[in-house]
Amino acid sequence: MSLEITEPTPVIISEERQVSDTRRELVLNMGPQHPSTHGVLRVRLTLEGETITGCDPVIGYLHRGVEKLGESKRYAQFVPWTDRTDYVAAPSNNLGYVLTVEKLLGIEAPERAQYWRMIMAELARLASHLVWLGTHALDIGALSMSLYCFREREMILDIFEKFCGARLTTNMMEIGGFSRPIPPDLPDMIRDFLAVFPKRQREYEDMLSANPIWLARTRGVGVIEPDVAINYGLTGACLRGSGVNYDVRKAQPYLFYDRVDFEVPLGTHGDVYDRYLVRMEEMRQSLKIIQQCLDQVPTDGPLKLAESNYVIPPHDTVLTTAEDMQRHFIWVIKGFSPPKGEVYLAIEHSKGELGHYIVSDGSPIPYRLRIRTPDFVNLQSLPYMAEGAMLADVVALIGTIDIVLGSVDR
Amino acid sequence: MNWAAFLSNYIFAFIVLNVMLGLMAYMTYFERKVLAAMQDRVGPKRTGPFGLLQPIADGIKLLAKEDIVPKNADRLVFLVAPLLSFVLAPLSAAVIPFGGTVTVFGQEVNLYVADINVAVLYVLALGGMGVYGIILGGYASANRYSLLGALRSAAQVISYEIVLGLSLVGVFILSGTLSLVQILEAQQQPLSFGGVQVPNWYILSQPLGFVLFLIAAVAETNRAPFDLPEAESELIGGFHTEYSGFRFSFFFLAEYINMIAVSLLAATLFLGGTDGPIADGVWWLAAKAALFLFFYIWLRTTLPRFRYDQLMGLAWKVLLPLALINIALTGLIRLWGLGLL
Amino acid sequence: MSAEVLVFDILGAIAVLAAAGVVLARNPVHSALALVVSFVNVAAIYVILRAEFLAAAQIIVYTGAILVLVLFVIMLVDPDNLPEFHGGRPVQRLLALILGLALLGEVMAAILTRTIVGQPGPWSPQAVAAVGGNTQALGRVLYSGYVLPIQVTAVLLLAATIGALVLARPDTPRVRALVRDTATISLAHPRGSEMANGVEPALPALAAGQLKLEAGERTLVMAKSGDDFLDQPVWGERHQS
Repeated sequence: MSLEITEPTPVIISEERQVSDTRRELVLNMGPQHPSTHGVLRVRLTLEGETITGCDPVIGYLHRGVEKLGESKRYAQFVPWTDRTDYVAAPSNNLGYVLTVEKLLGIEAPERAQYWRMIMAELARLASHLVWLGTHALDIGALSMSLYCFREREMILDIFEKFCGARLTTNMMEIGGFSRPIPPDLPDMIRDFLAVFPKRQREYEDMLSANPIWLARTRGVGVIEPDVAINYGLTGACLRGSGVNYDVRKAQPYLFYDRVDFEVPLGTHGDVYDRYLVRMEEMRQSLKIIQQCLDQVPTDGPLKLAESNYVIPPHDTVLTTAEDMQRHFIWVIKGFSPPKGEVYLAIEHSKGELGHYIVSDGSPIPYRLRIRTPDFVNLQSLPYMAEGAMLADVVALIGTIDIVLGSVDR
Repeated sequence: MNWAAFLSNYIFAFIVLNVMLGLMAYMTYFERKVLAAMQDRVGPKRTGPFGLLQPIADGIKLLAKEDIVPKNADRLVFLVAPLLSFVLAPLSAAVIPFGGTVTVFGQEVNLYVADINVAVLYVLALGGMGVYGIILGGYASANRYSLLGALRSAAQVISYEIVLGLSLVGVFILSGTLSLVQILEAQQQPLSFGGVQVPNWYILSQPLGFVLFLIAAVAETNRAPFDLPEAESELIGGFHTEYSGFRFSFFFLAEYINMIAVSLLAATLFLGGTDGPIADGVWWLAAKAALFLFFYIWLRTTLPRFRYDQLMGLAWKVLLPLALINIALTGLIRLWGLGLL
Repeated sequence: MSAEVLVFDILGAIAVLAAAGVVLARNPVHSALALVVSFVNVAAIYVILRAEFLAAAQIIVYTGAILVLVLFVIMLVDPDNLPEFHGGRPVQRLLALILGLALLGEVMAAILTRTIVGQPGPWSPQAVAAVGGNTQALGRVLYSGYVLPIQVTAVLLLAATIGALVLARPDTPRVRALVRDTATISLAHPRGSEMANGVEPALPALAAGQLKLEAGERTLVMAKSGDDFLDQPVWGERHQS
């Protein structure tokens, strides 16, 4: 039997077009292999000279069917997959999913675990914003910022590593709390980071905030009016940069965000620079939240909900008591069956509102799992911002939306 | 014809050419080390002591790589463009005076390859020719990114060459010559203000011209923050996207040689060249040029990149009027100095 | 034969060959390249004639600027849309051949019979050397005897530039629709229809503590609670400097 190999039909990705006698358009295919499309985003640009007349983002190059995979796995088995959606802020994804499942089950993790979840989520926000700042500045041409930002991100990753052994795909949260103990020197590591970071952040701002070239490249570029931002369904800094006060942590507080004191920065012009300022301020507010959580968190107490059929029993009792051993066996082999129903829960991810929607038919596997990732929705605004801008602005605009293609394509 | 003089001049030109090529290789090492130090890294350190063999390893790597010519490329132009860039780049070193005249084996040797009476114009003309390598390379690659890079480059070089030329007019007015050797001589007589000896370097009498020259020179050599023709975050590699192996290295080397040449020119025109507080000589020129090269790298680590329209706006709306004002002011002062006003 | 004549012959031959290349090349970019070669050789001939300033000006102006612009235009224009300049109708080709031969014959006759013999001007090599070189000599002639023609030329070029700018300006500048008559679904924002009626809802009054001054003369508004500014985004004339 011979295997017939057919030549793939060439896909014409660009052509020139005569618009009128004097105007000609050039179609430029940017990506999916391009240094500044943050992974595998492809943007089909129509150019007239250097001015953009059309912009068409093409996604799906990193689509792995995460939602469908979730519909074939038991609830607890899906947690590692959430790491792989937005891989620069993995703990936040864990949190969003775990909280949704807990809401479906009607359980709540112990107070101590809730505080630590907050700390980890805020650290993830910082790590994500640092990656955003580094790559955004690099796209605009500030070469050194990426290295400075990754230096501080290393400190956060070290904290994650200390806590759960992994740096990028952390898989650190579980339904019902944490099963790992908090390492005794972890609070000090975090406090060290809190002491160092504000000074470093001032250094970044010294380099960028008042730099004339940075201002020229970001001010008045990519303006989104508040009504447009709402109509596009933007969330996160893209929405708040336009001056709309919507932060899930304030609007529908989850965990203990109502117990900590922080403010939500809102932009007044809605351009790239405002979103930059908003994210910078959010980093400062995150530090404030982490500091308060560290002060408020009980030093002792359970980290995981005990005596619930939905929660994996702790290791020590599994090995000493018969009922926990049986429970553990069943939990691992069969999973658990949540009540029938559907649930949606949103958290404030570093990029915006991260929502998980789960439909349960009472079996150990979700009937439907839908992840509303913020950057997928935010990416819609790219054509709106890009039309009429210059070619060089496109990279600034992709940067300002703050996308991670793993999260956009899922 | 004095064959001994001809031969000694030829030997000196040979030395200058080879020193430029060697310097250029170590310029990449210098840049990587300085960048690394500014970015909290260590830079090359594994290849040889302190990584000193890194440029050689890079060179071997580039020469050994496959030379790819794209299918749709304009083959002849594609092959010629990098050569054009590379051949033109070191020629401007021919008019840089590395000192006066020394006697070697009873033979008078000039420490410059040629003293042309339009030396500065010659350097500008070379800059104008150098852009052909970029334009033709970008055109011949049959790639849209390359073409955009080439178009940007053409517009940028034309605009900034005007500023570059006009920023130097003040120096010509003060020195009354276009020859670099004579400009250097004119800077060597110190001025005296009430007993205080001040070097007559043109940076002191032409500060605005110096700043304009510096900005235009960075743009002319396509370096950050004016590196739009090869802006990697927008145009991937710009005009050299499709180039590989030693043809790419020709573009790369030409850029570094141009940087060195422009630094030498700036040191000669504005900082008194080989003139120094003690022991005048070529080491002063080297130190001053190194200062400019450091400045180039410093800019690259610090500043974001301009946008295309902002770049052109800067040249035509800010720098050009300033250069014209500078010329007018210098001319008035010169007339006043000559007692004609 | 002196060395200079030999060099002149070589340069002249290359210049003529390159000029032939300009006409014969099929690809317009190759034509332009051949013209570059021709210009550079002509500049080299100027150097032999001790006209260094002219040589540098030739390269800077013709090669460095004008031909770059020509290349610029060639690259911007689609090669398929170029007018046919090779071939054409047989009548045109015949006419071109006859006219070209006539011009050649005219020039040859003028040169061979030595009817074009200029009178030496006032600037002998000694006179040029006396003022310091041909740059200075050229400057003296142009800016003493010919100031007015130079000024007139400058004004003419300026007018041409402005004219070109006016002609090249696009007729309709792209303006993004500023008013969007769209109804919105939302929590915090002026209804689109109200905006279209020209009725702008009042902006929320901000306490001093809610404003945070950032670099670049920008302010951020700090919302303490999720209930602030719910009628209206923090966005409006007042904050737009």
